[in-house]
Amino acid sequence: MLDVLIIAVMIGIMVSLGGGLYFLVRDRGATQRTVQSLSVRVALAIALLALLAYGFVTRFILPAA
Amino acid sequence: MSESHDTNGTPRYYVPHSSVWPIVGSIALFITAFGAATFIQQSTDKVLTATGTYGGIIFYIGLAAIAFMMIGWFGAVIKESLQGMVSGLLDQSYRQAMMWFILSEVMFFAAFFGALFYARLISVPWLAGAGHKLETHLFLWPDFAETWPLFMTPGGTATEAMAAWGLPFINTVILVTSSVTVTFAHWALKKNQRGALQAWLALTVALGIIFLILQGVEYVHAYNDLGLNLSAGIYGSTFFMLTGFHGAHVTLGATMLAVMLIRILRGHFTPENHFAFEAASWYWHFVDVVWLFLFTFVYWF
Repeated sequence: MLDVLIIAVMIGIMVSLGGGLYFLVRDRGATQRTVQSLSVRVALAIALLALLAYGFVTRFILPAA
Repeated sequence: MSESHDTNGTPRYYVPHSSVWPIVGSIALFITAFGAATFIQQSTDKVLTATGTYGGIIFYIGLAAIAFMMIGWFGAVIKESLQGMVSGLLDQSYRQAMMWFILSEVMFFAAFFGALFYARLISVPWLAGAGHKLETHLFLWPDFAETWPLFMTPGGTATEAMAAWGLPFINTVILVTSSVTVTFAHWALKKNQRGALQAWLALTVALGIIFLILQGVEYVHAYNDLGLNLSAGIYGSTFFMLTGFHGAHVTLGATMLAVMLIRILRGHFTPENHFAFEAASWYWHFVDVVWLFLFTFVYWF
């Protein structure tokens, strides 16, 4: 369950980062859509770190090394 | 108004009359390639002792010439932008060029992550007799057991793995924090809050430099205490290839953000016109995402 969630968050990070690039090319600085996408991206990155830390503390997912 | 002009009357494409930078760049690239090739030729069989060869010196002269060309060329482009010469299609070209550059970066890292996955999921299990490769295992490496990280290569080279829950996790938190601060700087620029923009961007550059210093500490630890180096088998090679090239990208991103900071201190950029800042900021986010994947797949799992 936790690993599915981690993969889902990673996909979300890639999509929001890609969205930021799309709006960077498309909107040419006229809108706030690039910075909005990147804000989502950063929030998901914090969520990923929290999930990994939660997995470590609860011993659901342990580092290989 | 003709179609070749924007609404404000400037030509859609600004074409400079002449520029010295392309030929400077060509010469710099030639010097670099010549120096690198000469260095390799002079240092074959004595890689670690090949100090003082002129090939190495020429290589560094070439790199310095490339840096000189970049500073000059980018400086000229900034000057054109400040004089209002960038408009219409030229702006669009810059943005599309950024997209192609990023595509090449994605392919670059995809190849290295691909090497990691191939080693972990295919070639190392094969050496241990997985699938239809049982005879490879029996005849060549009968004592080899599959592990990841690969503590013991089939040839008998031993190494320890880099633990995820220590310096690497701290470094991850530092890099994600720097992405938060660059996002705050981005919002501040959009809302035209110059003071906040300068402070958040300066903090981002500082966090990037701290990340690089800690990465250096980690490498020293790997070499001195863990026996983890470039010749410690496929785990060591993929570890240093991925984290090393990522570190080079952090250096590049921090340099770009530092240039943005200098430009902002000089009053460049407006809430509507700030492509260079937005591109550098996006690049920083990209480098952070590459690290998150590295941390998950190289250090953690």
